[in-house]
Amino acid sequence: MSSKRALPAGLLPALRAALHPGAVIEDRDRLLVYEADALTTSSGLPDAVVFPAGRDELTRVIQLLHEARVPFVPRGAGTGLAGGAVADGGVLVCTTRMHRVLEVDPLGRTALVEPGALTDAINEAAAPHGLRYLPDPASSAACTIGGNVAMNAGGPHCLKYGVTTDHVVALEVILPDGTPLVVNHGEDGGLDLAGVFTGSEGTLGVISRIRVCLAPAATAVQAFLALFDSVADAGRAVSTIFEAGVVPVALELVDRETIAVVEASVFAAGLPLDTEAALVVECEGDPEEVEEDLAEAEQAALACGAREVRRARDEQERLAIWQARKKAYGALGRLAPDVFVQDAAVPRSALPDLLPRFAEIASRHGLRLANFFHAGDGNVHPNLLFDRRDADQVDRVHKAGSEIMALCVEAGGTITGEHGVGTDKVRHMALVFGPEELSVMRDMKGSTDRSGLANPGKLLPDLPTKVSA
Amino acid sequence: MRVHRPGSEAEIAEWVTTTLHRRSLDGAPVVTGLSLGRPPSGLDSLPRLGLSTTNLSSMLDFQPRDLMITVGAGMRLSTLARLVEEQGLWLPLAGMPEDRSVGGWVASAPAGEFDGSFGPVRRHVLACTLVLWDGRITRWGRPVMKNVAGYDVNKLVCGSRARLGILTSVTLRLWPGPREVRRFELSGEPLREAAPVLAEAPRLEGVVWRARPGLDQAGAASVVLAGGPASVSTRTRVLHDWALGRGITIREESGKPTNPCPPPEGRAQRSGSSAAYRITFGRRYLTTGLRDLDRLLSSDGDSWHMEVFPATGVVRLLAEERQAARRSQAPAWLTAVVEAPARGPGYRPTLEQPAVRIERGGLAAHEAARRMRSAGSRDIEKRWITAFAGVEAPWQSDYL
Repeated sequence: MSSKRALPAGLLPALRAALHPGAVIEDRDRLLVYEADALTTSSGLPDAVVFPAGRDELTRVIQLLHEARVPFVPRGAGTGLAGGAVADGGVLVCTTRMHRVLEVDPLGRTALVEPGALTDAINEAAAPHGLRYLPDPASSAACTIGGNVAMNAGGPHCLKYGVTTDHVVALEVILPDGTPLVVNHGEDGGLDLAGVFTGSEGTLGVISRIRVCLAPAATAVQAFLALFDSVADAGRAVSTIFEAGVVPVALELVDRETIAVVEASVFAAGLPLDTEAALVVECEGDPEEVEEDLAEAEQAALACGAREVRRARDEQERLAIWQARKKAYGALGRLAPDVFVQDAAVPRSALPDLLPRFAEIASRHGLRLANFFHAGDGNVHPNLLFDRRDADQVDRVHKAGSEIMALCVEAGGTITGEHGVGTDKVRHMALVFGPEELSVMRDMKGSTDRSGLANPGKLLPDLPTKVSA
Repeated sequence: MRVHRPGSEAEIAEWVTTTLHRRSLDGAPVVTGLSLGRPPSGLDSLPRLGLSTTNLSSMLDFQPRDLMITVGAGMRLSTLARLVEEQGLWLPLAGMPEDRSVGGWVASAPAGEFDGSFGPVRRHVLACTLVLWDGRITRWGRPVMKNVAGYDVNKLVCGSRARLGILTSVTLRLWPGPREVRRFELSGEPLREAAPVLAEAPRLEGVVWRARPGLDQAGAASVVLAGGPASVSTRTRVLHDWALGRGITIREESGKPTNPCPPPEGRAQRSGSSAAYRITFGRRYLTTGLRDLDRLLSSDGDSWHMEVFPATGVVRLLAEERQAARRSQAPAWLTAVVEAPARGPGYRPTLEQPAVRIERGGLAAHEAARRMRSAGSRDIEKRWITAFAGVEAPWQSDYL
């Protein structure tokens, strides 16, 4: 379904005239940089890439593309893992030059930001006011807030505080016909339009400005590691910690394979190599609260068969544990040239049963599996290691991936917990939505993007629309 | 008004496709949970059909270990609270009297005193079943804590009243029951300026400030501390010292706060149907907004009760319905607040936030609220509602 074709004559000059010098790329060599996002197995080449430097330029770009009926794909830093920011023909609209934090409002505890601002940049701007932006995708040093909002990104610390959608106050979007629109969560008596634009993956328009919530920095934060001889026990401990009345800010699981690569890397945090699974549990709040929550959680882990709980002795040790967790993805490069990053969410109590079954599926397909994920949310990442130069391996990865998705859905789960659908999960959408729901979503898309220009081929499977009355 | 009380989703779908579509209505069908005993003013005279979900009140699935429960939309909030509490869990949400239905609560998404710590209604709805106005039965979301597959229709359903369809079941996120919960009543002169004073207070899990504006009352606040015993006990001491140092009287409420919290004494809702306006000032404009409101309301003939949630900057105004029903349009003070020139265009529903939602009240008030929204968002809303309805519904439905 390639939309590849020559751009209409006059479009490129019009774009160049509308933008700052150097903001339009059309040479094939330079376009290659944009042929994929962080899902490297999926690629496509845009006809041009543009870099608007502000919302007026962005609006003008979308208007020009609408007039010329040329499809476009919004893109932030390209760190997405679902193939959502890849254009197969058409124009890639990069927001990276719209990277300013426009305002930090300490009284209102919000910040107004441009979509291309790095997630970490919001924190840097908020920190002097004793505030922070809570969602923390592992790529926060590189990813943009616009991408976070488009995909409704999560992160380890979203367990207690909620994912991106819970921290968006209001959005300004440029609709696919070039009309700007400000939406909120229905505070004006309307529907929660911002709730749908968040996570719509660029299929309903491009985000041009975002007002996000900020929260006060915690007064105390502490973490511990719980080491287990069985993955299933670690999975069981996850539910038991909640049953003890504790909601940690983060509750992560790292398996043996992951520990081995991380410990061999520069991010080694002293995790024992003979551990089948480790839980990273972090609590924050006031000092008494952290102390008693950690004590309860440690008891719960021990009751589930943890052979040892190990508290971070100081801030340095705590940060080392987090480095080990956050850099695990990169460290997997030691094992294989490629990682198929899986993302699904399941009811928490299904983890003890599912984790051994993921391993079984991987081994049946002769693949190595590395698990490191947000166990507290039941948001699993059973990552498959492979070499994309080997077509047979790629084929096996896709088969194993599909089996894992089907298994998660069967357990009551969903096909993506935080990475989004993009192109990668489109084929799995029918696992969690029936024809009626897909038809409603297609009509939402169709009525907002009548010419079908906004990020075509993403999020929704290509099904015939329902027969209209 | 004839009220139909179906016992299943299929029966609702059938009612929609037969009874409703056969009739040519010049008004909306009214969907309701439990409150049809007292239809909102202005509705009883119209040739309307009523649909009540009272008979869809079962517990459908409860997974305490996964902190999730699925119930019929017609279940009473008090029944839900009891089920959840029996398992040592918590639904830290308030804002509706206990005799309302779960469906009505999700569909109207009222602001609550725990929103600042645990998030508003929209954070708690994980999945739902919606019978569309063309009879299609649709299921949205999954029983999981994180889900980004497809458009986030659960969010759209929260606060949508019945504009997208009829809510028949809801899956909710629960929280572990806090090991300790204490509730305190604060009163005294310094609370007159609620927002700045309470913003300086030690961290609170729940906080609501109540007053009757324009009556020169000092107001009172109800606050909740929840968490581990040591933390709650330390913070109780801090709260006492804080209150004492400011001449604020503090009194502990006996008994565990129920779940959801009962409406405090004197709240207008307790006496029957009410009108409620919600103004989201945001924390930034709360202080000035409250001053404006106080001034504007003092010239209003009716008696209003005010609830302020300082953590989120939301103000709820409650009045007896018969007062609101007299009005053929939104009260002048409301328009004045929304269009306050001091805050310029920022005061309109823009990226700066402040906005008005009418939670309950006569149809005229709802229509006025609709007019206050931007043409752009009304347009997208209309397109999406049509995507759900399947046909461009000749009626406007409402969950009242």
